[in-house]
Amino acid sequence: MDLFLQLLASGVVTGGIYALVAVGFVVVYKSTGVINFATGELMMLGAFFAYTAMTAARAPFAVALLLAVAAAAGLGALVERVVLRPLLGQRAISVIMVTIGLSSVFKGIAQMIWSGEYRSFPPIFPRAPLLLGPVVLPSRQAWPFAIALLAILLVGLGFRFTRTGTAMRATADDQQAAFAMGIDIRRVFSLSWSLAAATAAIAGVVVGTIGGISPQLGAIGLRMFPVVILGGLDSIPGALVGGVAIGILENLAGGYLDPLLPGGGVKEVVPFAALVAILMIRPYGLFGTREVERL
Amino acid sequence: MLIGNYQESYRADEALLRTPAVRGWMAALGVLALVFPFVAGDYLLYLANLMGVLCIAALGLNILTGFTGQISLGHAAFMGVGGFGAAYLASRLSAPFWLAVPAGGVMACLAGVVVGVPSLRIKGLYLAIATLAAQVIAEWVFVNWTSATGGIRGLNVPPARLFGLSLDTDFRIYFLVQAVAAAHVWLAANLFRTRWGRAFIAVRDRDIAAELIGVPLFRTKILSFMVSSFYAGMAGGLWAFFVKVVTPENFPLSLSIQLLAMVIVGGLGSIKGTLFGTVFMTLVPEALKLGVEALRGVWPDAQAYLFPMRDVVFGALIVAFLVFEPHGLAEMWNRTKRFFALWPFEK
Amino acid sequence: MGEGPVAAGDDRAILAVERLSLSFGGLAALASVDLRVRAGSITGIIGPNGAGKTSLLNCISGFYRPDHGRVLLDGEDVTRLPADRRAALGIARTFQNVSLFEGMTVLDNVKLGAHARLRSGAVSSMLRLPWAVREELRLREEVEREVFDFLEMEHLRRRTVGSLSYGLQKRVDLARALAMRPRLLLLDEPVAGMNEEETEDMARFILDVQEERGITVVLIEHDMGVVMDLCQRVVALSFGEKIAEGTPDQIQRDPEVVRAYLGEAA
Repeated sequence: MDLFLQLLASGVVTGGIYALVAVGFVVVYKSTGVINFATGELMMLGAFFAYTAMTAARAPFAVALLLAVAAAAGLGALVERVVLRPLLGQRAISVIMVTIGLSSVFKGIAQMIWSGEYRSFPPIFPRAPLLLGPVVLPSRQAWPFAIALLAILLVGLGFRFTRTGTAMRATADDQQAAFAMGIDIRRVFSLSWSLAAATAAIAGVVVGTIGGISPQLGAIGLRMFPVVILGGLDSIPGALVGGVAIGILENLAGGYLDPLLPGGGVKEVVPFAALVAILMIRPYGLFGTREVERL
Repeated sequence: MLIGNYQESYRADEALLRTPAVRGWMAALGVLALVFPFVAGDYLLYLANLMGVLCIAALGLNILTGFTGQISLGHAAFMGVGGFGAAYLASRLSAPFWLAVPAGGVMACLAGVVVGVPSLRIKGLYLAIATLAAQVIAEWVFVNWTSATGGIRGLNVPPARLFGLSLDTDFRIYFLVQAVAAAHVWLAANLFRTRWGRAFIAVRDRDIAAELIGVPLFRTKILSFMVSSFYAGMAGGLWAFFVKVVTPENFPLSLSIQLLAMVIVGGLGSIKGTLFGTVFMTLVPEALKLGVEALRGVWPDAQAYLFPMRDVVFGALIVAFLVFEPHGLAEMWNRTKRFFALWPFEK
Repeated sequence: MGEGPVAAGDDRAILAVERLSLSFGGLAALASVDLRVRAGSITGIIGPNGAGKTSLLNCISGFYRPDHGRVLLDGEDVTRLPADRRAALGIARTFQNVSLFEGMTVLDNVKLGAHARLRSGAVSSMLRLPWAVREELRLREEVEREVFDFLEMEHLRRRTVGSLSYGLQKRVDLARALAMRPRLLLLDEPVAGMNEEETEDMARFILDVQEERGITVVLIEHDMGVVMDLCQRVVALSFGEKIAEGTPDQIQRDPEVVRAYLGEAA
């Protein structure tokens, strides 16, 4: 039972981070219809930005995090303007491949600047672990989770209560109507990508504090797909539920099944098996909207 | 645009190579291909064989994604099925290559049916994500199904034997690889001037109208998956005899992406585009390597940057083509041909 | 070649629609529509926008599943059949927005129409096995004779459809439907957006299709001149209901029809 609770708790923590990345992913898909395959690499760049700020500029963690977010947001806007804008309205495969191409470029550039070796953040959080009954959460898991949660909260509140947030929600719902209401659609696209990059950056920093930073960090971006398919490609609450659910599923599968199978890697494959199952049963996920065909 | 081309029968008009000029060029290409191995060095031969194998796989992917419009992010997985299938038959059951490779193709074809089944219910981006899941799951199966695949260490493949001769050098296997590749190009060209090839394109362009005209959507998509993965399986099987060892590392997601890049840069929905794309995307990293070596005098550290530079160039090429030349090298070729058709007059 | 010329007095109903109802959400697109179409006739369906004309065509051809009612082709209930099966049985249609396959030439677009009645498999086609080659050649000859010649389109064979004028695209749309060798041809606004000359050509083709091939035609049209000239019977729809049915003259004078088009004031 203790093992179960421990796995559950770790799963929730991982899930919170997934949820954060998924929110950025969903924001882009909802407003522009683009599936962003470069999400993982944006996380990786965010982590490196923060790392550089802390080591080269001696900035304290909070400042470094803010600088990373700002830099990532700028990068997101740049990417949207230079690469995505010209491809507006083109077929799905083109847009998917463009983000894949970008992810390759980011990975290469990161390796050229920072080389392929593993880096760690200098110690940031207090050492004491969090104790919840029989469950022990090491501080390097609990704190990042708290940060991720805070970020999600801020994003959610921003969407709900600011004018910009409302404009983004309107554009996501109905581009033409939003345009007719005088909302600057291009600015919304730009903001969506900035927001996605920013949330990815925070998530990347968070992941970096847990497992170290390297150009390979982006590989975690693949885990997004089970999360957003489960939650629904265009649903932010879905991203939260999906993130936590997949985090828990991963941990439970890894904890119970890994010892049974010699090759291991169960943790990585189970979410994808779940993805296939979801696509067959309920393709739009828990909260996604159905697409309707017109002749 | 053919000027002054006069056919005297429908049969002549339906042929693949319709003008004497085209037939001449094809013959010249054939002669070139036959002479090449006698004048080229080992490394060039290796490249030619690599391109031959990848070309078959890329053609398969273009059939599914370019011609039928079903995005597939898991093509390497099908190559793996074919590769491991052929390797298993050859190494554990002593099957000759001319049985093992097509058997690998058939196994991949069956895997294609399985992956294609979701297309009954889902389409577009969702189907693409399903193929991504298939790739991840396949990679895991390759590593963990040790009795069939040999696990991480993989399987060793004895060289192919033809008429008592062992095809264990790049020179010897060149003829086999290129012949199989040429055959697959011919098969694909035939496909798209007949009933089912037209059905594939119709499903890509307007699937609802196609169904109303009498094209059975699900059957057509499954058929496309089958043909496409058969091609991938054949490529994987050939690869097994070409490299003579098959491991799970040979068929990662990055290979699926590389193949997609070849197809897109070459031109979706164009057979000659696939050929262009395969050659281009294989030669560019080679050119990069030569460039880095040439710079060694000026910039000794360049070598360390080779791998990440390849990533950057690869990604940048994809982005550049998609932004500036979305129909790929095939379209550039066609434009050039059109320009010279009337040169020195203009349009 | 389809049924062969059919005598005008043939009373068989090639198409019967019984109590057809369809709604989207709370909105009723079709409300208990009944229709019988005589074999070999030309029937027009008219009505203001939103009357349910295209919905009716979509239910007959199989794109929509009606909530209630039946569709019968020559007495056979096809209501549950998927669209491609209905096409194989002989229901062909053209589209309001043309819906040609842009990636193929005109010739290939038209050949595609014959898909359901060909037999070659993919493997035999790829390997150029003799019977597959023969079937493809025979198809080419048939399509040239029965469609390209008939619709005066030989010069368009190898053109890409994207380069054609709107009027010619609509002709290719019709050609593709004819390649299906249908028993029943559904035309969705066949002369919409055409100039006078193109309209006359299209009208002539439609008449020829019915007279020479005996194909039953059902067409949706807003161009009243075409409806009056071509159709033997006209059905008027408004808000999903059939409000009138009769000869073109009768329909023209029907007060319900006038009201539906012009509102209460008339």
